[in-house]
Amino acid sequence: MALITLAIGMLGCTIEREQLSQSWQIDRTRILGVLAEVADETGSPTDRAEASPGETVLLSSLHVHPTQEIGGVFWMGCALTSADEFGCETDPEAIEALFDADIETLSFEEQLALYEEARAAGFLGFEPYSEAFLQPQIQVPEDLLDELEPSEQLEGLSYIVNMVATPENKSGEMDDSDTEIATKRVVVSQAVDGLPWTPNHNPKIQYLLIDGEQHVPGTPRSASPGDTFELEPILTTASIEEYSYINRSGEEEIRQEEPWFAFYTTDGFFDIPFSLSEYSEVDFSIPKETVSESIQVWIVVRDRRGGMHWHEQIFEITQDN
Amino acid sequence: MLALLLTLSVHAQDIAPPNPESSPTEEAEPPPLTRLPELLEFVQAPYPQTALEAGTEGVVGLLIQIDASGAVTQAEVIRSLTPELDAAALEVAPQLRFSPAEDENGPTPVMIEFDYGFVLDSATNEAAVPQDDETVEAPVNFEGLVLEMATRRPLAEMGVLLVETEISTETDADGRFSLRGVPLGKHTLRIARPGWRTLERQVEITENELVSIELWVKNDSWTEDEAVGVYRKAREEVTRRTISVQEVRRIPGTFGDPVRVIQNLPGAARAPFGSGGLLIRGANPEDSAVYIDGIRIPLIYHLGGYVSVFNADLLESVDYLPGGYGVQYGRSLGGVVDVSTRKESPEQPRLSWSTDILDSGGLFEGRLGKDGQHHVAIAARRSYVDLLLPTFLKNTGVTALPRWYDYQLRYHHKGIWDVTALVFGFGDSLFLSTDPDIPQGVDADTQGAAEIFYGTHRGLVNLEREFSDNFSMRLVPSFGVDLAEFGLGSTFDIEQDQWLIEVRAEANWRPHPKVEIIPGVDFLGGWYTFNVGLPFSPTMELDADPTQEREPVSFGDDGSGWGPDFYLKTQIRPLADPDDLLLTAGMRTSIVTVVDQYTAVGLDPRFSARHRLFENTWVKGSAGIYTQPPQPFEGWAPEGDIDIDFEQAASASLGVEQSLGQATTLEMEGFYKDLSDLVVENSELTDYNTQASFVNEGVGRIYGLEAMLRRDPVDDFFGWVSYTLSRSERLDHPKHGDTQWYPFDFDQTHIFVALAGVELPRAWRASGRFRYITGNPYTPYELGVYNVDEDSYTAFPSGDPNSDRLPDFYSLDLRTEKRLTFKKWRLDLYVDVLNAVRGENAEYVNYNYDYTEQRWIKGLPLIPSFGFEAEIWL
Repeated sequence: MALITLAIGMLGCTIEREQLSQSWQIDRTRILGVLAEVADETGSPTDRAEASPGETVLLSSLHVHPTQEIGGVFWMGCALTSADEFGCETDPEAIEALFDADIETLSFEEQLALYEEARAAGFLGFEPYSEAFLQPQIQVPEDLLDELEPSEQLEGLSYIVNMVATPENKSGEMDDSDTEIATKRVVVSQAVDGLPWTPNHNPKIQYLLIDGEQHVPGTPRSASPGDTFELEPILTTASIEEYSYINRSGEEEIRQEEPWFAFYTTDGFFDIPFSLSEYSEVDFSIPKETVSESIQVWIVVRDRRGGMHWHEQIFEITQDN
Repeated sequence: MLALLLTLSVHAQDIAPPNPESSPTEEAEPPPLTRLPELLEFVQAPYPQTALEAGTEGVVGLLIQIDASGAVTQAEVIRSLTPELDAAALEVAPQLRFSPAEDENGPTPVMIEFDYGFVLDSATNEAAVPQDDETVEAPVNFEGLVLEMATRRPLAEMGVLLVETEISTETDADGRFSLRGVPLGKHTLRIARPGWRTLERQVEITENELVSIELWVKNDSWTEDEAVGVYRKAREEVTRRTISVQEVRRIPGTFGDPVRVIQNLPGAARAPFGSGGLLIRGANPEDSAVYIDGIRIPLIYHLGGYVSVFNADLLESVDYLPGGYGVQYGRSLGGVVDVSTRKESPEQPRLSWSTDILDSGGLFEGRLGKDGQHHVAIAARRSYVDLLLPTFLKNTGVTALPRWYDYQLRYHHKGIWDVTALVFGFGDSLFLSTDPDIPQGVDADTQGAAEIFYGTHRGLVNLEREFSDNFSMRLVPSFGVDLAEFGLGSTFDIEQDQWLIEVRAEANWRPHPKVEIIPGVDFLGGWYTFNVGLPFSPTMELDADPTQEREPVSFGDDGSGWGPDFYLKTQIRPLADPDDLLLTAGMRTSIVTVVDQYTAVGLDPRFSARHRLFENTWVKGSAGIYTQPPQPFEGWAPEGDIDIDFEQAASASLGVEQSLGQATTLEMEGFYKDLSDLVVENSELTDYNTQASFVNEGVGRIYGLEAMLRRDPVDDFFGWVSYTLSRSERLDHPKHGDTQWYPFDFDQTHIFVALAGVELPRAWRASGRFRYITGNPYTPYELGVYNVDEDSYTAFPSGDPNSDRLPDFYSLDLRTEKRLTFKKWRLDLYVDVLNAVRGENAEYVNYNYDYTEQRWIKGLPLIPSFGFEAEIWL
């Protein structure tokens, strides 16, 4: 035993008595994913994640908390050209004016004016939104790429999006002690559908295989304490895209996306909390001593080009005795 | 008359006669005498008439007291012959003269048993008078050879006594003895000498036969075969602490490693668990230099930092120079560790084998040729953790194979030139992999096994010659290669090879008895190649865009570099007693040229002085400039022709040494070091291809006070107490308005070490070490911002750089050893327990995924190590 102990020490491992919380454990306010969907002419979302100048990008987030409701997710953003290392440089006064205002005393037009002023300062929206104009979205300026070379316009640049999620406490007030701050890039380019300049589209988890069998999306799965399930998310065939890439030598390469999955849960544990498309399945175990009546599992897929999607699965726990 | 003089036993302050009932196997506590009294002047007693007429012969047993001058101050009869002969012996006893007995403190009074014999001349029946060549002697009928157990070394000056007849003698230089006229029959033979276990054997003398016997005596001393003699070296440096191999092997927590012991000396900070870096006086690990026989090597530890890369059995000493060292050492801002190998092999061929829980190794050494003038040694070692680890990792899907090896081959011949050839090398590798269907991360480019390898091979010839009493030379050419490789998956691959030629040539000229001039050259040159394969371009990474497409890149280069450093060192001892004052002045020119990359030139003037203020008190001081070239990766850019220079340190120290008796010293020393032109990352870097990644913009300051109270290992006890109070700070970009000094990553304000070892009866040893060290600084973080695209958090510092510290470090380490000595071999068994009491110590800080929680990564709570070393003399 001494041998293995010392050998582990050699490898830089240590005996850890106090475990830190793990990223896949949902025990606080978390933003697990952000969906950026380019709107079509009707304002409806499409599966395209990469926008062109003048288009609108609709934003939504997967925000979770193990016990509380997320009171709100505040969205801000700006083009990369006006961002510093960590995010957007904004005019806080214009944004504060929106939140300090007594909305109920304002007319719709006054609310809209306040919104437009805040939006000009970087405000993108709010979740949950009561008015359509509060829906988080990016109005990509028509001239965003004008200063780029034509080849650079095809590659595009990023729009930086920042979010702050805050839960509500039991009395319905915002709990600032448990907020989550997140950032994401949304690519804006002149790429249009079809090779060689395919703009990125969000992947999509079509369904989930549980122990090798297709599970109906949106329906809970019965389970008992101590159960272990093999989870394998299945993507739609269109999820893994081919795209063109100009390498450093100026040569064009056709590449294929390599999406990967991240797994999260409110209870239980995974053998590995992530998987690649090539190794998609993971084992999810429900603790023998769990007292949960319902356990949530979220699977988020990312295509490494900014596209993502998620899937929620609920396990209803039946105590055997 | 022939008086027989038999010294049977010697006891300091002990007048008890020997116990004839003692069993041969009973343990004899060796008296603490270092030298026995020897008879210098014998006085013949007149033979009493009555005894003469009666023909009485025999021995009078006397117990006599000898004072510190060798004079007999008291005598009494403990075995009577006849009253007349007893009186005659007592009368002349005060006139006998001896050399005084000695212990570690010098001459000392003792009491000895002394047999005064009376023998009649058979021819005349008168009192026999000693005659040189006319005495008729009985034939030799009993002879023997006395050898030391295990080493098989002949033992001289061993007392030989036939107990019943009280006939005695001593072994000669070859370990042989012979006795004449031993009465026929059975006798008890006793072999005795302080420091060796008393041996008794039954022998039978038969008529007309020469009885021969070979006897094996066990050495009860641990120190007999170990390098006590190298403990004190000439004190040329202001601070040179020499560690003998004997000390090293007794210090717990060092695993018998001569270099690990340095962490217990003043000025040496504790490296984090498992890293084994040399952290000397607040300098980076790469700022300190390690030499083997004058040739620099890149690493001194195997993987994990537990074992040095050189067989400890082949080392003679390890010199530790934390600062203020002379111009013969260069290209370093920190300290120096100068390892000297043992040149000579024992007369008796020796094979040793050591095994512990990490590795096993063997050593053979001996002498070849007619006169044994060719000393050879060969040693090798290999770890076997990689062979055993799979057993423990079975069914985990993880494969982890750490392994190392090292080898040494040494030849030495002393002729007109003192020639030592040394070939040595080592290799370390670590292979990590998981089952193919288990992803190691979310990045497809990094799927696959990880492998690290580094190795060094060197060959050197050390040539020394004394042309006259005033002039000698030393030449050490060497050639070797350093290899390093790192691979991860199919796209990460970094390889680097360096072929090195190092030559050190040094002369020593004494134009005047008080003046010593040492010119020398320390040449370092060679060729390098490296290849780097990455799944992304470093240039692209500057943008840190997780959605940006990555492109595998590979680049490499080959080239050469060289640097002939010349130095001149002058030592002057101007006072009548040369030990009273030593002034040393030296100058070193440092040049490094990496072809097509950069050239740097430095000038290192250094001064030091030692002065004996009082009989046992020395003051010492030093001042000097130290320069160091950039690390290889810092001095290279794709386009070449980079603007980078030496790092520099201006150093000064002042200290005092006080001798407290023969074996105890107290040292105190204060030091200050001003660092400038430190190589730091270029804060304005935007393009790796066209801009320098590193610039000489950093500065630093290091200051402190060191103290050490040390008891030398001259007897059964050794130990020291060491304390360092220091501060090491850095400022990275003062030219860009950076004013915030921050503590060095391994800045440890208080370093306290107390250790001691003792030899116990029955060949046991025990030692212990206690350490208290201030925790390392670290930069605190809080509030990570979630990067949704990468599924990772970016942390923000919540304080200044290195503004928090890990908890203080405490450790109590224990070691015990047992030596078993057999006829032809010896076995040492040991148990070494690190951190025996305190439990875990924080080594690093670890945060959770979003930096809202932190926890200490702790060292192992208790590390046991056990093993053995067997030595066989062939």
